[in-house]
Amino acid sequence: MIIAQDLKSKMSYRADFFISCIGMLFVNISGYLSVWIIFQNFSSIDGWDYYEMLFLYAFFLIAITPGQCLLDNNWNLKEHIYSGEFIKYCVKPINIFFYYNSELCDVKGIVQGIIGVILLCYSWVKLAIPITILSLLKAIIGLLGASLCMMGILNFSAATSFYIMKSSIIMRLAFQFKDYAKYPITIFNGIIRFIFTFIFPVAFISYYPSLFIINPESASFLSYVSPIFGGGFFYLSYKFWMNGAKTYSGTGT
Amino acid sequence: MKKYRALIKASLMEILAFPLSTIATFFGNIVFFIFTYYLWHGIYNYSNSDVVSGLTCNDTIIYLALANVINVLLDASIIYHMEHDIRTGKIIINVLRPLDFQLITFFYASGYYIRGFVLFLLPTFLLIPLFTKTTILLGINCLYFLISLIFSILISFFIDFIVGTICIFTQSTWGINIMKQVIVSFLSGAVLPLTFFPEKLRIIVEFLPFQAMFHIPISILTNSSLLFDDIIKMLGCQVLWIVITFVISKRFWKFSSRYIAINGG
Repeated sequence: MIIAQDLKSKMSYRADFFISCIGMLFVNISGYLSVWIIFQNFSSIDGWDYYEMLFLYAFFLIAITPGQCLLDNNWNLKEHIYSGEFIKYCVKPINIFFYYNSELCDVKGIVQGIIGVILLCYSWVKLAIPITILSLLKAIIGLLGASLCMMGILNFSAATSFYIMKSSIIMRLAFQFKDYAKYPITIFNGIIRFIFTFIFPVAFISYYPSLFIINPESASFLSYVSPIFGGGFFYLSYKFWMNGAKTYSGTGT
Repeated sequence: MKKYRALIKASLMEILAFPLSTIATFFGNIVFFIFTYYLWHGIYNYSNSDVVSGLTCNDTIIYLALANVINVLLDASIIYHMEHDIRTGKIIINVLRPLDFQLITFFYASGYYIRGFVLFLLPTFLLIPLFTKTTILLGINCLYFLISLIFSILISFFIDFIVGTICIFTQSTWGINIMKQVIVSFLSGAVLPLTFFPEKLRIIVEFLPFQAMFHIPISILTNSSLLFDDIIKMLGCQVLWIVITFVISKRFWKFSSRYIAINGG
């Protein structure tokens, strides 16, 4: 119902909406073409071949879509806190987090999700992954965990606005770094891999869940754990967000 | 002349007064560089030869690092600034002639270009030898690089200006801006070196101004096999695009300023 309402008001800005969707399309076509061109010249990226990379990319697209669509209002959090508007979300008896984020729904993000699904099916077929109940379950649970992970990243970076001023750079940087999830985490070693796996967990957005589906034999413990990690990470981010919201209403600025 | 210098100074002061965005970009550049370094090692490790399409691993890394930093340097928030200016300052625009608006916008952007050069480009020259253990040969090509960079800035400015006028028309900023960013980044060699592009795409790309913004200055700086003739040809290509984009931007502006006057912004 909320999506339908938002769609209606968006349609009145039809040109903007349409152009934004095309913009989204361009971004993803460019992403796809980049992978394609790399593979015109090279045979693999750290051991991953063309269709495996496409799978990784597609999985990534689908995983970031729920975060992009549902948590879009997080981008406005800083302004709402600064202007004091945020208080209106605290006085209602509805859960603050749900209320705040249901205000806005970024429909153009769905374009990304659709492209992701198409590419996923395409690369799935090309990789000859058997379509069994198990593999489908792996995909769905993997995607759920991965999208929760992404939403967790968004929450954490947005919620810093509750604690420090001028925190918009954190959101911007987080959004930039999430793109590194498109690649196998194995290109990194040591500390950097640790950072991108556990502290800024892009590895769980696509790499580990995908590895589990494509190549279950070489899947490490982390692949099994990825949905649990995603869920846990999201829960922590939710707590962090809510804590900030409660502190805010406490001071009543 | 003096008032234009004051405009640049004012713009630079404004940018430096809010340093967080600059710091974030600076940090983002470093992370991008590290990422690029590891990614391309991961790619070249699995390739049969050290040199692919004429580029070694280090060549690719240096190319992309420079491309990223030039990309950031050229980002002068022109489109948003124009939209904001039009929405709020239309009275001033009616008083001054359209040419002045473009000039004023340029001097506003210059603050960003200067910041980009000092805070983003120069540090990259330190970062590259640190990681790749190769240094960019510093010689007369640096001078040509500087000239080429200035030409890139001009082309980028006029393209941004044209896109800005389109945004005023369609009242849609994000969509058009992102389209422009994606197209420019991809077709200019900022995402992947143009040398990797297959034949058919390369021919198309040669006819677009975007490769003049990135591929040409980077090649001048890093490609030691370029002859003086080649360099002059490349610089000439850039000048050609400066003229073309300048003319188009003037016409677009003339058209949209009439539109603004009629519709009251």
